[in-house]
Amino acid sequence: MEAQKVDMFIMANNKFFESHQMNMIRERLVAVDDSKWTMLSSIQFKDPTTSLIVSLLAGSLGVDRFLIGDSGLGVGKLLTCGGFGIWTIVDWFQIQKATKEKNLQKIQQFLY
Amino acid sequence: MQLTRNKLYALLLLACLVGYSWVIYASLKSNEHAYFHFCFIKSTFHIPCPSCGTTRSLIALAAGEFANALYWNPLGYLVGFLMILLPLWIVKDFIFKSSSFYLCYTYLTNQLLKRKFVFPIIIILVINWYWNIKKGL
Repeated sequence: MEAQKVDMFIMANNKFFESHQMNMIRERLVAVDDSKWTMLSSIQFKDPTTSLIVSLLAGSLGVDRFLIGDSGLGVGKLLTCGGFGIWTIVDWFQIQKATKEKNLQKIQQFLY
Repeated sequence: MQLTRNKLYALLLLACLVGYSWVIYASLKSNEHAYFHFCFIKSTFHIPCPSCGTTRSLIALAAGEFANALYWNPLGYLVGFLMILLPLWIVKDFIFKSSSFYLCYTYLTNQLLKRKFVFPIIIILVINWYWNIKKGL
């Protein structure tokens, strides 16, 4: 794919990924076929900030985990009052990373 | 961190272990009426959360008081069922070196997010929550 398109994609979606993943994503994007551009630009990523806000407000109900697509862990969190409150606090700090990981998994389907 | 088979199994076994120890501990303590609440919602807002009462429900289930268990929190039935089923299934997977539980988990995880399941579940949980608040758990 053209470097210009790749840069545009990187700039627009910078906040959805970890900084150390960006290099890998850039390399893969340059390598992939141009025909994937339409699909790539239409992927809906989950916003880490949104999941952080949800985690702070409704973390003990597991809503944050449901939001990023981990419904199994969401059920676990819901049934245990947010993992006895401990998991809730851990997730306040972990949920942004988890969201970015989910975004990476999502984009990887299109990169290989 | 992607949830691989072994990580998921370790996590669930740990969760079950913590669950069993907590229920046993709480059942020993329950005679003294000295419950302390881990629940965030209950300790900050002084209203019960959707899963408050699950421990009492599990203790009632263990004693064979099925009506009481239903009264404390119907979710106790689900948790009790999972606490018995999950360790057995995971051990079975380890023995036969299969990943049937992991596959089932990923399938259910994706299914649960479908619209036809999400809305009924939310409605049931909200009704249960309302009942919890009315009971004043």
